[in-house]
Amino acid sequence: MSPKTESYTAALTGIVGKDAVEEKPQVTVAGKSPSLRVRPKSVEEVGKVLAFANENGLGVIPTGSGTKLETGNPPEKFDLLLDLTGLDQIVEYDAENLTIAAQAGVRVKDLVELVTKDELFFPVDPAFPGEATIGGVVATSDNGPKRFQHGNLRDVVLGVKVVLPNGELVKFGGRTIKNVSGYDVTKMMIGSMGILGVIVEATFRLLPEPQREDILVHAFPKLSEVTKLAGQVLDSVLVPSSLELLSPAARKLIKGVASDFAVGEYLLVVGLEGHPDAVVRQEQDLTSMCANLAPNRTALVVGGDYVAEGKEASEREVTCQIHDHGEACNCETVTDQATVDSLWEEIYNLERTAKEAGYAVAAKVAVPLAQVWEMAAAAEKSAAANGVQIAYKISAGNGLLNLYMQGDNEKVLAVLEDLRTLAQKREGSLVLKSTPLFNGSFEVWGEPQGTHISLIRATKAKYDPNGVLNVGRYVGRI
Amino acid sequence: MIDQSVIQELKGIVGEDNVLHNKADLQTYEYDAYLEKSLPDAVVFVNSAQEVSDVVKVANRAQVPFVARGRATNLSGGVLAMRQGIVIELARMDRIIDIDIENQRMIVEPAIYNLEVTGAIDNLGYYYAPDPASGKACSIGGNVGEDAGGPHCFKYGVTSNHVLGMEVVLPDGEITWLGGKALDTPGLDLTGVFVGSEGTLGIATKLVLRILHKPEAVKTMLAVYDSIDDASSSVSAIVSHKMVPATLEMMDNLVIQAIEQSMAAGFPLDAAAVLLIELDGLKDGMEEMADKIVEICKENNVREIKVATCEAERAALWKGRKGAFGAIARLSPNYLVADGTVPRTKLPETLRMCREIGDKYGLRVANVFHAGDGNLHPLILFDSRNPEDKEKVLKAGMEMLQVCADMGGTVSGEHGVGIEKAMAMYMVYNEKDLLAQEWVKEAWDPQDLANPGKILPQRLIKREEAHVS
Ligand SMILES: Cc1cc2nc3c(=O)[nH]c(=O)nc-3n(C[C@H](O)[C@H](O)[C@H](O)COP(=O)(O)OP(=O)(O)OC[C@H]3O[C@@H](n4cnc5c(N)ncnc54)[C@H](O)[C@@H]3O)c2cc1C
Repeated sequence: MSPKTESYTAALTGIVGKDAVEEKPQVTVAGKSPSLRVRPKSVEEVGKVLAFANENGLGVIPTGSGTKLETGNPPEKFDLLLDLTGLDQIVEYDAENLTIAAQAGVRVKDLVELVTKDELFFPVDPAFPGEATIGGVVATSDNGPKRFQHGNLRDVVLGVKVVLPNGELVKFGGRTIKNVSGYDVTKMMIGSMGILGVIVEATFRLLPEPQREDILVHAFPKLSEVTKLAGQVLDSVLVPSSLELLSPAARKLIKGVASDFAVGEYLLVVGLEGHPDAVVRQEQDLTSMCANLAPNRTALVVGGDYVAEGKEASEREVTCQIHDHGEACNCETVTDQATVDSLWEEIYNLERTAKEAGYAVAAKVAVPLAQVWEMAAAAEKSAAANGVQIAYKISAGNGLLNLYMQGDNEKVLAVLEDLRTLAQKREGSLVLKSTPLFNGSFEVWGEPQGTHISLIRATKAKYDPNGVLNVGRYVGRI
Repeated sequence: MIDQSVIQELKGIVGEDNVLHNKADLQTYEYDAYLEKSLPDAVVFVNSAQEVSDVVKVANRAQVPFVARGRATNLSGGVLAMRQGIVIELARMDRIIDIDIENQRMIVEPAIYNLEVTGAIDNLGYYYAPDPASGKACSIGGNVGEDAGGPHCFKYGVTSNHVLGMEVVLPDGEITWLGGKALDTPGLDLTGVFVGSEGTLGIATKLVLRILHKPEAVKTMLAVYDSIDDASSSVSAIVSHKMVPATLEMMDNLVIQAIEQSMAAGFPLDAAAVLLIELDGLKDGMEEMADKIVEICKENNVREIKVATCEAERAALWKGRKGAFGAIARLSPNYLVADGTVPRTKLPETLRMCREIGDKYGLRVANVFHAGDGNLHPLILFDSRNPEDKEKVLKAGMEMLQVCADMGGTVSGEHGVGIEKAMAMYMVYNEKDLLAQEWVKEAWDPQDLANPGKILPQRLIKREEAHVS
């Protein structure tokens, strides 16, 4: 340990206390490890730690539970890991007005549990909800399938409090749904990957819990049929809350409720929320739409339990009768909320399950809605040509393709290059979410397109003039 | 005054006829829908992004400020040329560039009227959700400038939720694209910062809009109340019964009077408040939800509740709300709108306090507002021919915004800050917060040429010769 590090340890210990400073923590980000992990317990402490880092030119990477720490280019400097899990307070929960303000380290799961008690709904469903903290979710703008209906982080975060690299605490936005008082810096903080400041608190919009939530699962033998189905659904009056597709390989990673179901096929997973009649109607419409395109396949309705007592049983009968009446489609129903939740849970954790199954590389492709199918087909083709194994999930309502890959390093790289070229041609992007293999040899964010690097650089220079936060990790190596 | 040589350069870009610089011509461009005036040096009619860029480059060389002008319906002084300079009149850039149904996007030029966007895709079964009451008269570019809202925003969100990308001429004249048809463009959400920046970060020349499939069914109801508090409690009760109506709009007695005088919408003249409620979505379950709403309103002492049974009846119920601002002219020659937002449950108390402020200054206050969002619009009535009135009105407006801030709300819900509310920013932000906002302006417009003197109190330019319109 260098004398310099020792003096840092001493100074930081003075700020946060001995038990909140760890030397040589077991953390690496793209091959680099910090000398210290610091875990402040208050916003004031975060301010002091950052001010210290700023004065001493230390490189800081803020983190929550670290579930997305891998996303980004290798850091230019990395002295301190700023662990924000100690900021774990709900600051203001206003159930009546449907808002909640929470500190950065609060885990999504805990927040969801809290508001569920009041029959409210947190309209954000990121990956790894059991660990992901709200600060991390806001900083990475990570969201899940239900984003189709409820919007992204930028649509539900009403305001943030941020500690700037100079140690000052500032607030942007507020806690009302409508707010045009001043520049919407909140939007810029969302997804800023911690390059401008440390988000210490965020206020979210809540919604009433849906009266009923079901999932409809349907098997498809071919990608072209799902493509058609998605087109039909999107161009209809139906309002599913999510429209996800698992590739056969990804489907294999899902256990639980759908384990012995549609093996070797594509699995369409449609989330339905709202008035029970509307949910049931959509199940009927969707099963017949699916059956037309992919006959003789089984549909599975995973039903929620929110319906007023006494009503559930009869609703169920209706659903099943309709599904069973023709030869076209068999129907099974599973009816309890725990099952709905666990299926979502598996989908949220897919990236990890995939990694455990050997898919070491994860990437995300975003293109205009209808182009996502072309991207999936191209991914299959390029993977086959390069001898790379892939599993993927499509969010059809958002034009997103989450790709998990395993194979020879060079080959995986070749597939990624193919897909990025195509995505950019379609005015989209490909972002590498985890980088264990490449260590900086592949541009994580891609050549900037639809953005303005010198504006981002100028913004960074204003907020973080000494270059303390996540240096070099962002788009354009900013 | 800007140099004649600058005028010549501008004429060189857009042609002789497309530059105004005589005082008489310029006077049309010295005001918007706020109360102040400021005369620009020149007005330039542009027809393309390239022309906008060329004009902005001239402005840079000459160090003359410029202001983007949409349809000038904003209520906060957003298009007033506070440091004179060039008004960039966008009116001719009103084309539709692309209607892309399969990707649910549309690309338009900025000056297209808000209602024309939906008009162009209505027959395809689609619409553009943000629906300011001024939709017939305001432009999409101006909506982006102010981050405009409207009666359907409770369910669908405001302009920033529906603008996903743009071509923009930056303050130094460079043309660039931010965002686009796809979501999640890597990099900072520059589109998000631009929306609501009131022309101070550059000029949008094309906008990528999210368009939505029209709902299968719509149910519109009008509930009449003898007390505003009952109307407000109905709003909260509806939401707490797990319903998210598309619209929850309230109008008070004074507004009802004005509407009835101007268009006879069929609102009872003696009602304390009416609540316009609209559900949309699938038809299944809608009857039941409508029944539930009727029941909730009854529990909250509704006097009567009408449910529209056909499109004509629905249009009739909406007519009053749509024409509300305009109808105020029946009551008073001038009005100031204080556009504050509070947590919804604070509405009754806030409305009461606003009324008290009006009483204190001897000014009548009419209310028509987005109750679901907690976004109130006290319209403070006055007569500009009465010189001391204006001062009283401005004071009363500020006090009302202070009430909103004290209630945990904010000082502008959808009309923007402009010059009107720059000082009110101190009610919700401290100096450090405001400095961190100013960095945005500094990063985008280091020369301070794009619509200077707006939004931030530390940059406010007060016009001494300003006078009432
Ligand atoms: C009767 C009435 C009812 C109204 N109802 C509502 C309502 O329900 N909801 C609501 O939100 N507002 C409402 N408004 C306010 C007003 O209509 C909105 O603020 C509207 O968005 C302004 O559009 P505009 O085209 O008139 O913009 P302008 O007034 O011309 O400009 C507004 C601001 O945007 C900037 N700007 C304009 N074009 C561009 C561009 N292309 N790029 C960058 N900046 C640009 C301008 O510089 C200015 O700062 C109402 C106004 C009136 C008079």
